[in-house]
Amino acid sequence: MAINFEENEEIIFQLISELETIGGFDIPTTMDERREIARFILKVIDEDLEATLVEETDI
Amino acid sequence: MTHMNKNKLSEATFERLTALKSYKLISVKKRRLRATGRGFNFLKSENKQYYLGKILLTDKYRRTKHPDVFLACYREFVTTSEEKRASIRKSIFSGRGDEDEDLSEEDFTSYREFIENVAKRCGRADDIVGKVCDLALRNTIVGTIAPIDLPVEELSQIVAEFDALEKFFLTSDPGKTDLEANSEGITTLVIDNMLELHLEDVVRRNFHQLFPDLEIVDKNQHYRTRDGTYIDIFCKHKQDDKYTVIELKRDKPPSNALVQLLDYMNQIMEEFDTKKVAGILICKEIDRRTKSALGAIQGSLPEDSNISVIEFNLKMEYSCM
Repeated sequence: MAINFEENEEIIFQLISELETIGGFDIPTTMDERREIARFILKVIDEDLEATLVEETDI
Repeated sequence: MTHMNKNKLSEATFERLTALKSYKLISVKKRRLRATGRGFNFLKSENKQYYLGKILLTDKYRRTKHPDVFLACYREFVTTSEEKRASIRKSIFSGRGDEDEDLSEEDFTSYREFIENVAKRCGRADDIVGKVCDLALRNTIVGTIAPIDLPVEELSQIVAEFDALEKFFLTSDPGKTDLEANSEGITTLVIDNMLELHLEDVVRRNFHQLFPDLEIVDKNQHYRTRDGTYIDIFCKHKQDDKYTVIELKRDKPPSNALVQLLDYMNQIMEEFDTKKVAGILICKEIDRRTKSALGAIQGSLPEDSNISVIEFNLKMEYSCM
């Protein structure tokens, strides 16, 4: 079943925005960047790319 | 519209995705992502720091092997002065490294005092207390906040809720907490609105109220039988030398636990050369098969031995989890 990107993107955006306000992230982001991250999270899940995140982080 | 560079996007996404999954605000299965009930409740909650703190402490509490030390740690931490809390934080994040240049003698002393006070509260050794406090107060997963960094007001409120739940458990109000024998001689223990506390921890800490005729003889450690198996709680009657083995089963079928209990009782009979060994099985729900097996066994046990069963009912109706 396809991900409902629009709805999920908004929820992910809200969740990561609230978490960023509380703290715990090493990399601070702007609102626009959080939108981009929310979209990217959905892409990562949909295309099963989680492993590449770690690889790229390690570079 | 700005675009993040690839590395920053990957790193920021990794820590946020890890945090979302760690807090269980989303679930990912077979390439499907959905916000969980917890995720929606978090968004709806008026005090998100408090909500997240409750998630953190509850999840850490469920994972810890020493819930008594864990609670003592937070009880002590929220009553410590702001200055000392800052020193404890510094010590924990520097790995308690006394070689760390930024860690003053005062910081280290505050940390040592904190550990000693927690140890006094729970009656445990300093080294175990140190390890449990470290895991309880710091963050261990990328992207997640360390509980020690949450406002102390929120932590105090959460600790007060843990305490209130414990008092609730101890209440004698029969409508809420009920320990009574039913017509089949099976005791029913109902604990309403209780957070998923460790069953063994709850039983041990409230042992005298639950079993006034018994005393624990295993020094708060699982008793190791000669066969190398471990008894959940090993105790004995205060008035005579009758041993009692308590087996706790929160999730597994009680029929398996009944076999385990009989094995332990038999081992204790042989080890202490006695026929006077009682067994208590504390389980979620006794099924028909176990009840039937129990009925058949009772008649064939030695005269001074018997098995009783306590059913418990943990209802998870915690305010916003």
